[in-house]
Formats: sequence, structure tokens, C-alpha cells
Amino acid sequence: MRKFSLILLILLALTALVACGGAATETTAEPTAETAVEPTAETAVEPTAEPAVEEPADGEAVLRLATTTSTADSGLLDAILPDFEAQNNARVDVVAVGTGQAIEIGEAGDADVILVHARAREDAFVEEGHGLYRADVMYNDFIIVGPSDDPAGVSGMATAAEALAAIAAAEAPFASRGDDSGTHTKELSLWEAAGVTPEGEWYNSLGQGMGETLTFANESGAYTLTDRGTFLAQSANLPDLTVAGRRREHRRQRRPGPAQPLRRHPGQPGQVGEHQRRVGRGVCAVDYLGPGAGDDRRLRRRHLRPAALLP
Amino acid sequence: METLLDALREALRLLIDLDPALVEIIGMTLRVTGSALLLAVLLGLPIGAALGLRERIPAAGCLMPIIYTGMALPPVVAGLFVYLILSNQGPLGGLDWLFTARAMVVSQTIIALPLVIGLTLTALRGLDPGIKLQVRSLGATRLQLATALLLEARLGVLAAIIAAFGGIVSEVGAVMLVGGNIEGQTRVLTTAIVLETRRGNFALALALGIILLLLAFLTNWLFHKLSDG
Repeated sequence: MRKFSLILLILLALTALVACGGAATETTAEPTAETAVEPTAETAVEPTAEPAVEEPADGEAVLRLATTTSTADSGLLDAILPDFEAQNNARVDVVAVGTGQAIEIGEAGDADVILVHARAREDAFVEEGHGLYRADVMYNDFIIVGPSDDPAGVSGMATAAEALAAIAAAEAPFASRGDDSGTHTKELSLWEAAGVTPEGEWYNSLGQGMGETLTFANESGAYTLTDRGTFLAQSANLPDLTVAGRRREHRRQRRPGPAQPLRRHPGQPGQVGEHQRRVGRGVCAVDYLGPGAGDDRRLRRRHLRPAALLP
Repeated sequence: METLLDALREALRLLIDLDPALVEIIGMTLRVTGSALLLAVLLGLPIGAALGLRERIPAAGCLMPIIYTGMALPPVVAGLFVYLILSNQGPLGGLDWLFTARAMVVSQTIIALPLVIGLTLTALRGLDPGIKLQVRSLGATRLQLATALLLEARLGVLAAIIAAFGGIVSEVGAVMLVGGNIEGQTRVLTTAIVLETRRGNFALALALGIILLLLAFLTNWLFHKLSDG
């Protein structure tokens, strides 16, 4: 791991030099063999200047991490950040907002690391030079949860699309996030796969976050599509909901992406020193959060487990 | 109903145990709202007095509606404004104040300022014009005049301060946006309430709400004592 981060730092430093020289070369993506990937949260580091080496241990360093509310609510960060803070004599300030807002915060350079779930927008984020690189941190599968008496009889169905079709046929209440989030987008694609246009009295588009949507489903005996992490973290408050079905297609993890050419952060001439330190810390954090090359065991250990997530 | 009772019990438990996380959140709430209120009063009272003591307010037809509209400023809009100023890409990004208590104080001051100015001004203009003539005839300087009239209108001025306090201690839009609700750093009572509500911990959220109301009650009681004394 340590060796890898050294190599990574050198690689980043080189790309920085190249970028500063005005002749940015494309670093091509290192081919990784993997099947369909569905990570729920990923990191990207803020760009600035070339990352510096870890700073000396005088005083506590502060790293700002902008992330989505569902990642924060899952309890994952509470479980893994204390270790990082102890190892690096750093304090991590977690700002939990919506995915769009987290990306916005990252683009403005107001956070050192962002941990979000919107693959296409992450790629654009790095491509546009807002981030040094992205790395997959965790994945999280989607499950359908619903009332224990299962009025639509979806329990044990093989695919999510089948389950949704059954819910639509029974016109059983369904709660949709309705907020253009990653989960909502996934839900829409599943309806499409089921060949159903979800509309009618039974379909509730809430325009709210995962937590609120689960609370609604629990109160009104509705089904909903949720990520497992949020459901597990909140299950103490959701006595009437049980897991009804689960998406079958399993995903494998992606390794950290390649370094991207850097763009200097605009308008901070006087603060390059501090920024370099912050980038250094950001890279450390991404290395810590994301799995190292060829070190898949670490990742599997962090695969979502109830024990690790429940507060 | 059960949740309501749970909330009361939870509030009592938190208060009796002096839960360290709660103590920190209450401390941050008092620090941020207290600093913002102090700043708003220090800036707003002189401005309100200067305007209120004039025979004619300059461009009153325009200025007064602006001040009164400021009293209707949605906290989240004030927060957005401060956010864009303090963001790394904003004009004051170099201060590195975003997502700190300072940014929260700045936004709450902006929310409180129109309330202090507008209500102070109204209180002063509501005074009997005879008092002003009387104080002047005693040979008072402008500063002495302002002090005397503010004392005369102290109930109205106090109402201005209380309204400003109520407006900022209960707002969540601005502090959530510019503070980020960072645990142990920028979490205040209102943002903690939103967080617990989102997590479905309604009893705990309501308990925090009860504590916020208690805090507001104690502060207002203090204000009341001060104005009586």
C-alpha cells in the first residue's frame, strides 16, 4: 500500500510538471478487467498544484470531505475515519449534502475530497480538471423493501424488474425518491426493464432523500427501492419494512483510476503552500478510502456488512 | 403520541446526563447566535438610531421598503450569498472561512441586521416628537440625544433585539449551507434537528427542538429581566 501511494504521488507530480509546462499529455486508462460495476460512492481529489509529501506532525491538519447524506447516514465514515485521523494526525470535517451540491463544492475547491455516487458526473469532474483522479471506495447493492405482509407478493422473486411489475400489477403503494438522485435514476431504469410506466395513485414521487423516503414507506405501508447501507443504518426506525427483493446482478470493484492531467486551481497564488499540503492529504485520504492496486482483500473487508454499518 | 412522550423523556435524559455531544452543540449554538446578535446590535442600533432621529429619512420611499424587505430575507438566500462570497472561487475565498463558525456568524448577522435596524428605527419614530425637542433644549449633543431617545424607546429597541434573536436562533437554512453541519465543528441545534429528522430519529429530533425552545425561553426571560431592571 505504502509503495503504491509513493508511486501514485510520483505519477501525480510528473503529470503536474507536464501540465505546468503547457504540454499536457493524456494518460491513458489502465485497463482493468471487471464486470458491470455499480459503485455507490467514489472519491475524487481536488486539483491544485502537485501534491506534497505528508506534512510534519506539528499540530492537527484539517481535511474537508464533502459527501452525500446517504454515505454519511450509512455510518461507514464513523467506522473508518477515526483510524485515518489517528494515522495522519488529521481531523476530517465531513460535510454531508446532496450529490449535486457535493460536486459543486468540489468544483469550487471548497473541499479537499468528495465522496459521491454519480459515475458520469464523476468522470466529467475529473475530465474537466476539477479532480486529480477518482477511485472507487465502496459499493452498495440496491434492494426493494416493503411492508412485512407483502401485499404484492414479491418476496423471493428472482429479479427486481419482476418484483416491480408485480407491485404495479397489484397497485401496491410505492415510494419513489423522485429527486434525480442515483437511486431514483436506478429505479426509473428498473421500471423500464419491467416494461411499466409508473403512474397512478399508488406511485408516490416524494422529491426527498433516502432517509425521508424510507420513513414514508414505513409509515404508509409502501414498497421502495433503497441502497442497502441506508436501510441497514436506519432499520431500527423502520420496524414495518422488510427486504422484499434484491437486484441480482452483482458487481465487482474497480481499482483507483489513473492520474489525470492537472489544472492549477485558479485564484489562490498566495496559498499554494497550504494547497499543496491539502492536496497531499487528499491523496492520502483517497488512498486510504480506495483500495490499493491488487489489494482486493482490503476492499472485500469493507464490503457492506451490517455489523460495520449499524451505529 | 408515543413519540411525543419519548421526545420529552429523551430531552430530560439528555439534559440530566449533560450529554457531551449535546453540550457542545448548545455551546456552538450560543456562540454563533450570540456573536451574530452582538454584531447585529453593534451595527444595527447606530444605523437605526441615525435614521430614526432624522427629520426626514433620505430617499425614504426607497430605503424603508428595502429595510423592511430585508426583514423578510429567507435565511437560505442569505446563506447562499455568504456561501458564494466565501467560497474558494468567491472574492473572499482566501479567508478560508467557508464551513466554519465564522461563516455562520456572518450569515446570521446579515439575517439579523435588517430586523435590528428596521425595528429600532420604527421604535424611535414612534416617540413623542416633544421628547426630542425637550432633550435638545437641554443642550444635548447628538450622541447624548441618541442615547436619551434610545433609552426612552428601550422597550421597542428590546423588541428589535428579541426579534433578531428569535430569527437567527431558529434558522437552519443559512447555517446548514455555510456551516455544513460538521460534527464537533459547526453543528448547532437546528442543523442537528434536521439531521436526526432525516435519519428518522423523530423523538431525538423533537427532544432537541424542546431544548432549543428552552434555550430561547431562558434567553428571552433574561432580556425581560434586563428591561425591567
